Amino acid sequence: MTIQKILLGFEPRPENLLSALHAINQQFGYISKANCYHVAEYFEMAPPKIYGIITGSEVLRDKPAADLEIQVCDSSFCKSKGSDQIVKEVENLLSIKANYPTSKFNLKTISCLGKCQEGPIMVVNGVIYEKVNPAMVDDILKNYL
Amino acid sequence: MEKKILSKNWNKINPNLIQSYQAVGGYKMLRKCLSGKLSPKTVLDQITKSGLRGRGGAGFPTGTKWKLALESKSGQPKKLYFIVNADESQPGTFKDRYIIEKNPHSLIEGAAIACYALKAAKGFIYVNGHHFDQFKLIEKSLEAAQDQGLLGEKLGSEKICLRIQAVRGSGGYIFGEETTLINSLQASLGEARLKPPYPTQNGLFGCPTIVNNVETVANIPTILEMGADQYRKIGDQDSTGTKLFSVLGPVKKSGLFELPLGLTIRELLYDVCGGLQKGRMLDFVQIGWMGNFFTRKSLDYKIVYDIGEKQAGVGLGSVLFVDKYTDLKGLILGWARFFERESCGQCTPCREGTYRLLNIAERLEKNYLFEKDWSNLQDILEVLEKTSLCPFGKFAAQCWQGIIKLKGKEFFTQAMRKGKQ
Ligand SMILES: Cc1cc2nc3c(=O)[nH]c(=O)nc-3n(C[C@H](O)[C@H](O)[C@H](O)COP(=O)(O)O)c2cc1C
Ligand code: FES
Repeated sequence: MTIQKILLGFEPRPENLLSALHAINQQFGYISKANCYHVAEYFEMAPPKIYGIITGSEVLRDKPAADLEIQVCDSSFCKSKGSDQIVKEVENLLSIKANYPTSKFNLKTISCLGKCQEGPIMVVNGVIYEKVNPAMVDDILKNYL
Repeated sequence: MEKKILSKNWNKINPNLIQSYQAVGGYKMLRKCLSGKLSPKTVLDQITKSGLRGRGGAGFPTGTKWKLALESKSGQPKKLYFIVNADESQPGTFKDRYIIEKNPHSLIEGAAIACYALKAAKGFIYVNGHHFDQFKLIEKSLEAAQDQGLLGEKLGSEKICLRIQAVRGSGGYIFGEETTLINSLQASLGEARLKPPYPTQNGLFGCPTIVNNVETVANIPTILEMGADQYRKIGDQDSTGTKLFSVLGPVKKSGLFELPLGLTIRELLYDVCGGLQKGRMLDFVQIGWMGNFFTRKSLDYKIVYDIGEKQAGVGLGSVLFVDKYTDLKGLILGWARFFERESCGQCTPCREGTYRLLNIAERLEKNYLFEKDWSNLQDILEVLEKTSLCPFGKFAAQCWQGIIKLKGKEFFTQAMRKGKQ
C-alpha cells in the first residue's frame, strides 16, 4: 500500500494522527523523513512536530528496524528474577551491547509489560518469550539466525 | 475472602464473542439506557451514591469528577469528551490487562454508559502502544457492539448517538498521566500540562474532559446492576466496593485477585495468598505505588484509599511482598532504570534527577557508593519531589524515600566504597 492510500483511510483530524502513524509504521517498518512530510501535509501540521511525536514514542520508529529486534524487560520484578543475566547472554552470543543498535541487531532493555508473573520476559521480533533463563537464550535466538 | 463482582464472568465467557457476554446478562444496563428506562441523571446519581473512587491510583470520587465536568460544560457551547485510560504500565501492575483480555465488553459497556450519562460528544479508549493485542481486541469488540446496535448513531427510541474510538497509544508510562494522554490524543507532544486547569475544565481540544481508568469504567455496569446501595455495603466506609490486586513475591499464591477494599494486610497475606512460601521471611510489603512500604508491624493496617492511622493506601492495588532473601539493591536499580527511561524529559529536575538516581542505584548495587552520594541523594530527592512538573518526579523520589525510612542511612553507608575516595 502506498503512503497516500494509507493516509486516505483516516480523516485528517488530530485524534487520528496516532492511528495513521501506527499504520504507516506497520506497513513500512518505520516512518521515513519523506513520509513524515506526507503526514504533515495531510494533517496540516508542522513536520518537526510529527517527528517529535514519533521519537517520543516507544513503538513508532524513525529508522528501519534491525534484522533482529530483541527486547528484555529489566524493570523491578524481572530484574529480581535475573533479567540482567539474560541481557548479558544475548550480548555475549551476538557480540553486541544493549541499547547500541546495529543494522543487524537491536537489543533493547524495556520497562514492565505487565507480564511480571511470567517473567523474565524477552521479546524477539514481536514474539514474547516467558520465564526465560540464560540457558534458553541460545535456543531461542537460533530460530532467528 | 475473594469477592468476585467485576471478575465474576471471567473464564466463563469467550472474550472474542459479544454473544458470550450477552448470554451472562451483558449489555443489559446499556440497553436499559438506550430504551429510556435509565436516565442520565439516574446513572450519575447511582455512580455518585455508590462511592466509586478512581481505580487509576489517585482514588478521586468518580461521581464528583463527572459532576465537575458537567458543571464546566453547562451553559457553554462546548463539547464534553470521555476518555478511558488503558495505558497501564506501572511495574508490577496487570489488572487492566486482565479486564481487557478476559472481558473487553464489560469495559465497552461501561464506557458507553458513561458517554450516555455525560452526553459526551465522543468517547476514546487510549490503549498502551506496546499492547497491540489489547488494542486489536478492543477495536474488534467495538465493531461487534456497533453491529448489535449498541454503539453508533440514532440508537434506541431516544435516537441517542454513542461514538467510541479505540486509539493505539504512543507507548510509555508517562502517557498514562491524564494530561499527557490528552496531549497525545490531540496530536501534541507527549508532555504533561500544568494543573490547574484540570481536564474536567480544560481537557481534550480545550473542552471539559473526563479521564477514567479501565477498572473504574468496567465497574459501572456492575454497580448499576446491583444498585448503589448494595455496592456500598461491600468494602469500607470511604473506600467502597472491590478492587483488583496484582500480587507478586514469594507467597504461596500470587497473581490477580478481586478483593473487598478495607481488608487488612494480614488478611491479604494469609487468607488470600496463603502466607509466604516455605523458608521465606517477610521483610516488607509494597502496596499501590513504589515506596509505599509496610513491615510486619503494620500487618493489621487496613488497605483503603485514604492514608491515615493504621491505614495503607491502596493506589493501583499492586502488591509486592519482599522477603529477606530478595535482592533489595537490585530491586532499587530496577525502579531507578524504569524512572530514568520513562521520564519525558520536559522538566529539568525530573530529567536530570532520574538520571542521577540511576547512577547512584548502579553504584549501590555494586556496593561502590561514593561518600557524597548520600548527601547528593537527599538533595536530588528534595528537588524532584518539590519542583517537578507532574507527579512522575514525585513517584521517582518516593521509592527512595521509602527505602531510607525503612532501612535508614546504614543501608547506604554499608554500601560505600572502601578505601580512599
Ligand atoms: C506518571 C503517571 C502515570 C499514570 N499512569 C496511569 C495509567 O497507566 N492508567 C491510569 O488509569 N491512570 C494513570 N495515571 C493516573 C491518571 O493521571 C488519572 O488520574 C486517572 O486515569 C484517572 O482515572 P480514575 O479517576 O478512574 O482513577 C497516571 C498518573 C501519573 C502521574
Ligand atoms: S517487571 Fe518485567 S514484565 Fe513486569
